[in-house]
Amino acid sequence: MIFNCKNFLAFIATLSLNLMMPSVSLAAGTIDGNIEQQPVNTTAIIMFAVFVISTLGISYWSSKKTQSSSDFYTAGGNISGLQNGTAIAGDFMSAASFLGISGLMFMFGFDGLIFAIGAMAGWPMLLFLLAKRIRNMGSYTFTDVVSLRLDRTKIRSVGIGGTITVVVMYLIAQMVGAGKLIQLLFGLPYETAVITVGILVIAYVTFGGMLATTWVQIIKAVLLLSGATIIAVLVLMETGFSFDAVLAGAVANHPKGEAILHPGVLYNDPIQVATVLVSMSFGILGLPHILMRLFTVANIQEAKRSVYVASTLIGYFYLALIIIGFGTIFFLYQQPQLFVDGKIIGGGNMVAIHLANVVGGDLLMGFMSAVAFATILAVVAGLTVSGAAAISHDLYAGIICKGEPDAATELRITRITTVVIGIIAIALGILFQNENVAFLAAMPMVVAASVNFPVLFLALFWSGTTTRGAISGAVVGLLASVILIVIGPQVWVSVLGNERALFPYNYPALFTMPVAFLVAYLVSKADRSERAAIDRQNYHDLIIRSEYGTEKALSVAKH
Amino acid sequence: MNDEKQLQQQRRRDIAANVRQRFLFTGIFLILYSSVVLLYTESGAWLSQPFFSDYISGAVWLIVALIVIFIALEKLFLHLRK
Repeated sequence: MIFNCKNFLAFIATLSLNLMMPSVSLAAGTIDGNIEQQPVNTTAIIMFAVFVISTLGISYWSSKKTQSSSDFYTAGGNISGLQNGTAIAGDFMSAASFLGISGLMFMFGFDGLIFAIGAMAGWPMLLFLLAKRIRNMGSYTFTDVVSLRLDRTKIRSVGIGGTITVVVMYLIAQMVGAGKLIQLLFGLPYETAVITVGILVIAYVTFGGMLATTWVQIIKAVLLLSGATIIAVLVLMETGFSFDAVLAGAVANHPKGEAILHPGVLYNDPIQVATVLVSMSFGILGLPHILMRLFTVANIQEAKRSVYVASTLIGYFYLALIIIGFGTIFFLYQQPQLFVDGKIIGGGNMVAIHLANVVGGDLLMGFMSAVAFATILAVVAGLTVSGAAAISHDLYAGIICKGEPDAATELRITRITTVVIGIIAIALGILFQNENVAFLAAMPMVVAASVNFPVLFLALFWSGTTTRGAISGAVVGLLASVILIVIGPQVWVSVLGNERALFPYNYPALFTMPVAFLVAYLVSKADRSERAAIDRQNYHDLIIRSEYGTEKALSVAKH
Repeated sequence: MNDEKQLQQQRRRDIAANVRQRFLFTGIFLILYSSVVLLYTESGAWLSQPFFSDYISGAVWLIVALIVIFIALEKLFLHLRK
């Protein structure tokens, strides 16, 4: 399976950049031509079958505990901080992180680590800035938080729009990438892979809701961390546990030599690097399916503990990836049978799998392939829960029923929505099979950073925020994000075929986020409407609750 | 009534202190985080050479250190907020 020379580097750079998205954004659309199927990987399929059977069992068990909307959205608020933190880490550490960062490091050395640190960076800020107030102010989604303060109907519409936009774009990138990746790893036809992922996610989420999703993510996190640890240890064992020796070998093997040890092979523009770092870190703060996890625990202490546990596990994972990334260079260049016409078989996404094979044989390779598939399932499940909550809770219960829905109807709508989202995900995955969807992996992070985060932050921390200001900021943030991505390299050049991009950066949140903040601020300051006075007063009325919470807020999550 | 008012005022002062602490931690974090960008400028070029070993560059050490420091900052934050 060989990518043609013309698109190989573009594929690695673009796909791997996109693979770094916190909730797994695999974009395979930059591959030119058809991917040939690998031989069927029996070991991987068997391991994956074990994973699927056990997680379907968990879903069945979870379905008996999922009897209300609260159970569906937040697992009844009964997840512990340790479990939730592990699930968050499982949701976040994607196949994309494992495969994509390794692939980037294999090609470009140190510069691949920019994505590791970028993906890590959102978590401290989530803990410091947002976790407490979100947890104290909301019940199921982040839209609950902002609608408590601002005009419920209008701001919920913005929140729903932001959530659905992020979820749909992620789903497209996920499903297309899942199909391509599973073709590579398992030798299954693309459509089979996409339909399998979709059906499994529908099964998990429809019946088991957030509880099943949580346990799928926990299991996947444990498997992924274990696999990464085993690979890292095996790499170091080859050099007597000397990382220096691994780097020495990598330098000796890589065409770029010592340059791979320091910045400058992939990026040499500090602004470009800054755009990536800002988009990734602030994007995490606006991802609806991540924020939703703050409500699955019983209280604020457990919510904060969740974030800390997630951060620690994710940090550990990326430290292991440093060894794995350089390990790919050390080992794979010594295996000429892995290269055809100077290019690695399967492309950059396969280097970590090849490494697993070299250091651990077929068994480890099969295990990591199964884990990669499990990772995709876990992330798509998380996105599906978030999307379903946006429709059933935010739209139906919050807007249509004005906050007083019939409980049984809401749960039924939630389940129906889940099935519909699953079907849409399958359809989108098949529809976009041959399209260049790379830009769709950048957009969710940029939208989350430029739309969701500014609205959330200003609603929580600034008394002057008004509904009109928040909506204006959100709309401008969204427009700016879409426009700058369209005129940027990923769309203007790669999709539309122009020679040069009108805007030089793929991740424009460095520019769009401040614009959104500025517009929200200016419009809020100028807003003299009656509603504005209510919005400002709400901040003061809710400040105590935002810091100390209420029994009612806690009991909603525990219901 | 006076007690209630005083309690509210004390709470608001506490909240203001909490927010200042949060923003302080966030500010420290952002300053540390921005050091990654410096690696791609003239002022960060000195980190390209190896430190404490023959091959591990200052840049790699920086990434490792930042990951560890971020986790430590979170731990400190949780400890102070207990």
